[in-house]
Amino acid sequence: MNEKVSSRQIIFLIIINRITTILTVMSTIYMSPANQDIWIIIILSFFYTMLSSIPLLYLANKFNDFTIIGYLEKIFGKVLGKGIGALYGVFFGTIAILFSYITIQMIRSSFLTDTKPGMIISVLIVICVYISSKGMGTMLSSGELFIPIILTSLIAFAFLGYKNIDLSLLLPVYKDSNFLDINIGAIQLSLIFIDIYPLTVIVPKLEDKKHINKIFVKSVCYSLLFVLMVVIVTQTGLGIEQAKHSNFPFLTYVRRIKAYSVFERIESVYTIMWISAMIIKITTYIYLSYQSFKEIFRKQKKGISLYIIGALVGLTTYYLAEINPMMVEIKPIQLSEYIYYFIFKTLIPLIALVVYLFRRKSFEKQERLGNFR
Amino acid sequence: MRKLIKKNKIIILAYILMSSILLTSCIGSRELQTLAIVTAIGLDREGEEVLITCEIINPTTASSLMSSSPTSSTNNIVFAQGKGRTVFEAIRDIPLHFDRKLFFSHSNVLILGEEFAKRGITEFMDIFLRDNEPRENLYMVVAKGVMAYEIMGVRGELSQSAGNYIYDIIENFKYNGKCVEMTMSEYYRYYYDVSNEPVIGVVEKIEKKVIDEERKKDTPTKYILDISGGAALKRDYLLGYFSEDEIFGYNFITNGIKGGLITFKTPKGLTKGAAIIGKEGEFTSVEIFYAKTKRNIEITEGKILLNIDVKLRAGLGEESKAVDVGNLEVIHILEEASSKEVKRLISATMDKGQKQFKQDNFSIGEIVHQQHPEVWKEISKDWNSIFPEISYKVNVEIDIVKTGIINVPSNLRKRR
Repeated sequence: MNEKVSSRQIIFLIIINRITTILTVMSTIYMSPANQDIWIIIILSFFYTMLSSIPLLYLANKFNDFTIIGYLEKIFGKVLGKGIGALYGVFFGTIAILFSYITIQMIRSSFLTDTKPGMIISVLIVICVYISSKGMGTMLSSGELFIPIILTSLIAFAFLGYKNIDLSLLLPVYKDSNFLDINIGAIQLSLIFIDIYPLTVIVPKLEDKKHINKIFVKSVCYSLLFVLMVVIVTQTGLGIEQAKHSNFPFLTYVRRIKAYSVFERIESVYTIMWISAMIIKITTYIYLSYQSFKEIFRKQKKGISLYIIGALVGLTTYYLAEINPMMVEIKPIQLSEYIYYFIFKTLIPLIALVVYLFRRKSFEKQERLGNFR
Repeated sequence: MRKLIKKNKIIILAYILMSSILLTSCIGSRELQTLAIVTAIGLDREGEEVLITCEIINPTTASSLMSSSPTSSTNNIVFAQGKGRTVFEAIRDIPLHFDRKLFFSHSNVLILGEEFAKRGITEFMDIFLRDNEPRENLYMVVAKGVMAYEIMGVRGELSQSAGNYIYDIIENFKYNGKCVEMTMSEYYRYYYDVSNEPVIGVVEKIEKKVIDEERKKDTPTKYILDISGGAALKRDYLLGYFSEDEIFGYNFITNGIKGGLITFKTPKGLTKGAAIIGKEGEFTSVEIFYAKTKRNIEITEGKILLNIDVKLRAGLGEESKAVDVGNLEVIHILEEASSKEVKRLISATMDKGQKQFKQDNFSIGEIVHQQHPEVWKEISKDWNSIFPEISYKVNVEIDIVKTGIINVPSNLRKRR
C-alpha cells in the first residue's frame, strides 16, 4: 500500500508522542535543577533538541527516499548497516515496552485496581498490534481524528484546575538554580524526547519531502507549548515538591479539579484520553520496530514478525509488571538511560553523518549512475 | 478467498461473543448494595494503635429518605470502627466485624482527634495519598478537645450525616472567612516548604438548646458543630489553636479571604444634630466582596520588615447607629474605621504567631525566599528563631462601593 502521509498527520503524531512522555510519570520535574525553574529548561530544551537532531534531520533530507534503516545500510554497508538497523529495531521495541509498562502501572494503580495485569496487557497489546497491522496510513488517519480531541481536552483540563493553581510557586525565577543546572536539565529533556523517529521512518511516504525540517520544528514547538502548559499547571497546582511525590502528577492534578459544581471527578475522562494517547505511542513504536526488521529482512508482505514483536513487548511488559517490578527506577531517569537515548538519537546518526561526508563522492557517483534508488 | 472471508466472520463472531461474556463488568464488579460508602473518616490514637471511625451511608435507605423529613434520617447512617498499627490495617480490621467492604471515594472530611493530632499526623496520612479511592480534596479538621468519633455522631439539622454537615459548613467559608478551608492536597502543597508550619481546620462540639417544641420534650439540649478557628501545627503535630477572630486575621494575612463580614464600633460624633427615632446602636457591618493581600519584605540593615497590604471592596451590610451613610464623608470615616478593625485582626494574629506559637504559620519565609533569595539562603535554617523577631506593618484600604437598597438607617429621620 503506497499511501502518502501529509505534513499535518506526521506533525500530530510527533506532538502526541512527545506529550505522552510528560503526561505519564512526568520525569521532567526530576531533571536538573528539579525545582520551580523547570519551565526554563523546557523552553531551552528546544535548542538542544534541534541540535541533537541535526544528524538525523540532515540524513533524512539527504536520503529522503529511504527510511533510517535503509540509509544506514547504504552508509555503513550491508552487514554493519543491517546490524545497526537491527539495534534500532530493538531500541524501538524497548521504547514500546517502557511505555506499555508505564501504561499498565498507571491503569492498575489508578482505576482498574482489581483487574489482572495480564488481562490489561493482552487487551492493550492486541489493540496496538492490530492498528500496526493495518499500516501507517490507518494509524495516521485515526490519529488525525483523535489527537486534536486529546490536545483540546488537555487544554480544558489545564484550565479547569485554575482554582488550584498558585503561580507564585514559580518564584523566585532563576535564583535557586544556575546556568549549568538549567543547561544540564535542558540537555536531559532533549535526550528523552526521541520522537523524531516516526519522521525518519515515514520520510519516504511524505507528500512533501522538501519540508522535513519545517515539519520537525513545528512539531517540537507545538509539543513544547503543551509540555510547558502541563508541567506549569501541575507544579503550581500540586506544589513543586508534592508533584514529585506523585507517581502520575498530571493525573493527581486532574483528580483535584473541582470547578463550577459540574466539573469534578473527571479523571475517568482524562484516563480515556490518556489511554488513547498511549495506544498511539505504543503502536507507533511497535510499528517502527516491525518496519525496521521488515526492511532488514527485505520482506515486502506482512509477515509474522509484527506478531512476534507484539508478543515480545507483551511478555516483557508482563515480566516487568508482575515478576520483576521496576516502578521506582522509572521516574528519575538514570544516567544509563540518557546514554542509551544519546547513542541512538545522536551518536549513531552522527557517526553515520561523518561516514557519509567522507564517502560523499562515492555516493554522488552512485547517484549519477542511478544505483542509489 | 471465500474461505478467508468465512474465517474472518468466525473470528469476529467469536470476538463479539467473548466480549459480551467477559466485558460485562460482572467479573470483579462492586455493586452499590455491596459497598459501604464512607462519607467521613475519623482518626484517633488508642495506645500505640490507630483507631479509625468511618461514617457509612446506607444507600438503600438513603434513597428512600431523600423524600422524607430530615428528622427521620437517623437510620441511613452507621458507624464502623477498626484498630491497627497502621491506618490501612485499621481499615482492613473493619470488614472482620462489619458486613461490607468500605468504599472511600465519597468521603469528604478527615477528622483528626485532638490526641491524635498532638502526637503527629503525617505518618498516618500516607494511605490517603497512596490509595486511589480517597480523594485529594478531603477536608482536614482537628476535633477540638475531643476524640474524632465524638464529633462524628453529631448531625446537622439538614445534612444527612455528620460528614456532610462538616463539609457543608466548611463550604460556607465564603460567607464568613472565620474558618480554614484546607484540603489534604492543599496541606501537602505547602508542607514541604522549609519555612511553613501548616494551619488546618478545627471542629468543636457545642451544646445548644433545642428550639423545636416537639423535640424539646425528649431532649432539651442537643449538640451542634462549630468550625470557627484553626489548628496551628508545628510541622505535623498540633501546637495550639487560632480563635475565630485570629483565623479571620490569618485569612487576611494569607490572602485567603473569599468573603465575610467586618463588624466594628461605629466612630462617635457622626450623629450630631441628627433626629433619631428610638435607640441607636453601636456597630456597623460591612460585607467583603473582594479582598487581595500583597506581602512584601523589606530588609534594611539586616532587619526584616514585612509589609502587609490589604485591599478590600465591600458593601455596607448593616448600620445600627443613626449615621448618614448617604454622606460621602461619613462613608470615608466608616472605611477608615473598618480598615482599623482589619488591622487589629491582623495584628492580633501576627502577635499570636510570633509571641505565643513562635513559628511561621503564614508562609512569610516563603515570601522572603521569593523576594530575597540570597538572604533566604543564609537565614532559612534559622528561620523559626528569626520569625518571632521580624517587624511588620499593616496597610488596609477599604472601598465601600454600595450601601444596599435603603440610604440612611431606619432610626434616622430624613430631613427632606
